[in-house]
Amino acid sequence: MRTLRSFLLTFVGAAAVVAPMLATADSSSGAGSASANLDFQVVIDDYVYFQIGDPIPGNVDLVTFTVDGATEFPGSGSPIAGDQSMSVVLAANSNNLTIAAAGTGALTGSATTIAWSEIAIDNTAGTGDLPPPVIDGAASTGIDPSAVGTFSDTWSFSYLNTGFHTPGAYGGVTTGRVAFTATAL
Amino acid sequence: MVVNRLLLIVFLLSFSLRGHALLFSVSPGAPFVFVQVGHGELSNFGLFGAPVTQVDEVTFPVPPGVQFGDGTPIVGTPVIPIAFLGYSGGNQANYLVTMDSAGGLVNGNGDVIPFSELSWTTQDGDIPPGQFGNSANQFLQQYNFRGNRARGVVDYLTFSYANTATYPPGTYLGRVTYTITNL
Repeated sequence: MRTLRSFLLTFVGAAAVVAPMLATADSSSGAGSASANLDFQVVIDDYVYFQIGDPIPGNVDLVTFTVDGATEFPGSGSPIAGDQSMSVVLAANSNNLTIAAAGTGALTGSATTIAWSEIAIDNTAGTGDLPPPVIDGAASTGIDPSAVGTFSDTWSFSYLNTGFHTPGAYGGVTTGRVAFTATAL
Repeated sequence: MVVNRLLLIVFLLSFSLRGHALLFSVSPGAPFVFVQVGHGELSNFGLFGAPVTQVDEVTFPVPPGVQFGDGTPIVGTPVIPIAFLGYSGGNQANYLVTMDSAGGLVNGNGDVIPFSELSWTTQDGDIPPGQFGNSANQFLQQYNFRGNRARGVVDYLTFSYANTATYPPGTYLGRVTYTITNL
């Protein structure tokens, strides 16, 4: 079966104006209908995006707990709320997400240290989509294992205030940092 | 097909370019339609010489700094030439061009990105810009013609992936079929 394509090739060849042909294309001809295909490919890699507080990469927020002795007695066991909550965003395209939190050393003060177990995190003021981890290096559970997409929540922090410590500032930007790690398994 | 019985004489000197519309003078014969999607150096008449069934593929490389699902469109490569041609044999012809994008783009796990995530712009405007509609019979273009000439349209399409949604990882493949029909 000769086609329009072959005919025109013949003609163009006779006219000595054949142009260099590239290797791909789909074409067809017909009396009443003709079709040609085009393929598409989109490659989606694994990725995880995790944000706590300031969305600018590298900017680390500071949460402060003040036990002033006037409103709450030090070591009374009554939790002290942090001065700010943090927005948390986790976006991933794989399921089975976990979040782990590990303190860098202890909350060091002038004479004693405060253990990370004295710092608690809850998301009762948020959506509940991102259960916070315990600051012990172990991964949390409870994130919807079937979900793929973006999750957001609000985490609030408390100093449990169960121990008695000498006056001073504990932790800070160098000895009071927690590294949160989100992982898509 | 009866094209082989036609005494088609294509007068290159009458090859008329208005934008990238094509107009060929031919002798009377049976009507036909023709479509080509993909590379073939259209401007040098490679339109008629490219291999049949070797389908071009558009890929979407992710630029640095762009995250999947962040809403930053990702431009596809390469730019795709596309051409439609019809000859009516002197009769009134009504050419309809449609697209079938119903299948979506599918990865190895069966996850699907709908073709509506893909849109295109055109170089010359002879073919309208648009967005795939995930249907088997999406309208692209329609034009009428009468005369002893073959009339067609050529343009160059640049595709974009909208990147507005999050999809599981994988290599997603999909095919769109362009069809020209003489109504």
